[in-house]
Amino acid sequence: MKTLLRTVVVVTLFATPLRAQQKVNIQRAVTPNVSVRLNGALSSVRVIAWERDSVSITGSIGAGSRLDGGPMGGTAAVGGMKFYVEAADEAGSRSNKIELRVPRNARVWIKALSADIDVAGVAGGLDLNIVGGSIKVTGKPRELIIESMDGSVQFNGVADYARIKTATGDINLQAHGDDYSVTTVSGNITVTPQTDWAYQRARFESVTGAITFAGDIARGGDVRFDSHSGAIELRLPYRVNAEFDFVTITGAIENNLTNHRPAVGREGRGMELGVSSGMGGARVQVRSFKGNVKLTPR
Amino acid sequence: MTTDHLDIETLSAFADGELNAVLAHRVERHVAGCAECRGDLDGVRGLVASAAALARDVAPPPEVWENIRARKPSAESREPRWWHNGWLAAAAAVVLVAGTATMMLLARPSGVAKGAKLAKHQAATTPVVLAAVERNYAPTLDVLRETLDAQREQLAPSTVRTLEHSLAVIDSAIAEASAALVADPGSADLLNLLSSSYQRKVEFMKRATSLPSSL
Repeated sequence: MKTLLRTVVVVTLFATPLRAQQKVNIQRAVTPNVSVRLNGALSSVRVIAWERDSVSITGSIGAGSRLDGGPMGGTAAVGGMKFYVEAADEAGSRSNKIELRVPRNARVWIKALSADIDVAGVAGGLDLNIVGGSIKVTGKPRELIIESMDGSVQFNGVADYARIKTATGDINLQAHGDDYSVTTVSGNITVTPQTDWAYQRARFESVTGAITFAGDIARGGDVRFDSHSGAIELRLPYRVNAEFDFVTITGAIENNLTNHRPAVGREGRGMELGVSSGMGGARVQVRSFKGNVKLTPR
Repeated sequence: MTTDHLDIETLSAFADGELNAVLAHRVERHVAGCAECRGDLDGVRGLVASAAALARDVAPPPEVWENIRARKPSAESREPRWWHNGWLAAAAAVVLVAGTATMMLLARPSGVAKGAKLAKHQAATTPVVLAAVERNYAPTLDVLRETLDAQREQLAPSTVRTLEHSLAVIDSAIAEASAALVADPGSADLLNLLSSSYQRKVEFMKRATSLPSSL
């Protein structure tokens, strides 16, 4: 039985000379949907899903840094693990690089300051929170929550549920799913198409960042865009089955997808466009204060 | 005897003091009557305690830890009490939703006759609506600003710069939308955009108060 596999826990952190890099090597048998939480001063975290019911944490941490933690809960197969990494200073933090291997259906929660986080293949939930650095996720997580200040975000894959927020970091998606909310203050949001998948319900918001959407919209889908001054460009398939409802307060609207011309706004400023394309069905709503809006064929 | 057990994340959050009072009380009640969850909770608490007490084969020189301690905030303030802000914000959200709905009713013409009547009083109504929007969000924003100011010392200077820059960007958007609402009374689109900007500010500040400290 996997739960009876010999558990190997080797923590060599504290047996190495102070000024040297300290190796991390922790192995533990766990449940298939184990919850792993990693919190602290990390510069690089690589998370890889594998087909084993065990968690492996390897890598190295810098001089003066320390890693604490381990399994949480019962005495049987481990259902949760929690680790904290502390560093003496920023230089020490920059040396803290961890590789985490988890069962495919694990839930992974990472909170770090300035870190490059790269996650591949995790099908459980992902909750990633950084200030700076970058986050790259590849795969089909059931639930994806990303919060970043400066750090850029890239997601390639499919998620049933996604909440992605940045302050200034750019967001690049080659992804689709049922329920998306993507928000930034001044970062740019770029959505590129992904074969055979479409957005069902999604909301893209910025204050000043540009939004470029070249994704696909599911039949009956509902996709909304909201920006104060960021330009919004939608590149959609010719004859896409959708109804468009665009309103700007002062920004311009350009429609190159259908023959309908945008009208001047009701108050004599800004523009409006209400038009149906193809068989209709999906709803696409754009609200912009002063950013320009462009609808073009892909 | 209960068959529904608490998950490990809930127990972990409880052990770390991250649950709000209501949830914490529920966990306490459940754990009191469930030996299995009580065992799991003991395990979580044991982990935290044993991790803190791990022996170090090579102890760093005292000045290193003095340096770390000097950089770290006290245990009380080290982990931002996101749950504290969370329940405050949750309570505030209820007020915000109710308030926004009321404002939408105030601003939305509900018929031709009412539309004409509304147009007559637009100039007088708009400042009222605008004031109502501001009043609606102000208490939440004040609490969040207070919390953020208290945590500012724990954040890296670059993080503070990003926060202040982003808040300035959102404030600028709010100012522009507010001015436009004064000039364009009764515009539901403008009211929506203004409310969105305020909501964005609340959510952004909420996130900011749960940022990790500098080290």
